[in-house]
Amino acid sequence: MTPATIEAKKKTEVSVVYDGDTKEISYQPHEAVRALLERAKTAFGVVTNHLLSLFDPGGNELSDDVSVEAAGVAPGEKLVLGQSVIKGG
Amino acid sequence: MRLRAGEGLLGETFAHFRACGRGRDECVVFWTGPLGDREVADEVVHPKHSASRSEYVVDPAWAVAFALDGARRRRSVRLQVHVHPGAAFHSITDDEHSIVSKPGALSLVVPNGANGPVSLEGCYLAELQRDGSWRSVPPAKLIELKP
Repeated sequence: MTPATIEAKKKTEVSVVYDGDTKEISYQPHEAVRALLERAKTAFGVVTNHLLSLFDPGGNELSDDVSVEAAGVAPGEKLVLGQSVIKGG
Repeated sequence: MRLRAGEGLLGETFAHFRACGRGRDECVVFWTGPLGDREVADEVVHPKHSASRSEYVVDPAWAVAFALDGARRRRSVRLQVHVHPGAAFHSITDDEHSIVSKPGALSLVVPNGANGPVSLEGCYLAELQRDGSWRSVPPAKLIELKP
């Protein structure tokens, strides 16, 4: 098995929820959460970007800098794309 | 795109603002509608939030639960509405921390603690543009209230 094949086999998906919609987003376990976040933002057509995060179903915000695997995300898991903080003033 | 909603939603919104904000603090609600018809709003949701005279903050755990419930019920946010104790305007915080960040997202600000007549008159409406900026739009141009 070539390294490329091994890499392809590792690639998997999570379900990301945003504003009532759900999309399957692919990721690789070793890549940073930030990469998955950027892919999710693109998939949903989000235009303001730097304040959004991914959350697990328990409401915990995933750190952008750790790997998806280290963040405890498993294949097929549901994540929420949302503002780090929704506020106004 | 023009948003259609029953007049009752605006009345319910003002009632939340008067009861929760008491003319003193900020308060926020979200108008939601079916995912398949983006021109309709038919429900007002009042989130769990903290507030002061100059700010509101939605509870993060509530926001995640709301998002998951929206996906389950296939409902999305059509309009974010919050109240100011004084003049209506869209602040930098409003620009950067709205619940929806897609082009066409609408954010309405109600002035004077919602103590005036239940009306869009005097309110400030902002619409999110493709470049990420917010543009002021006369509320009656994009929001149609039906009896």
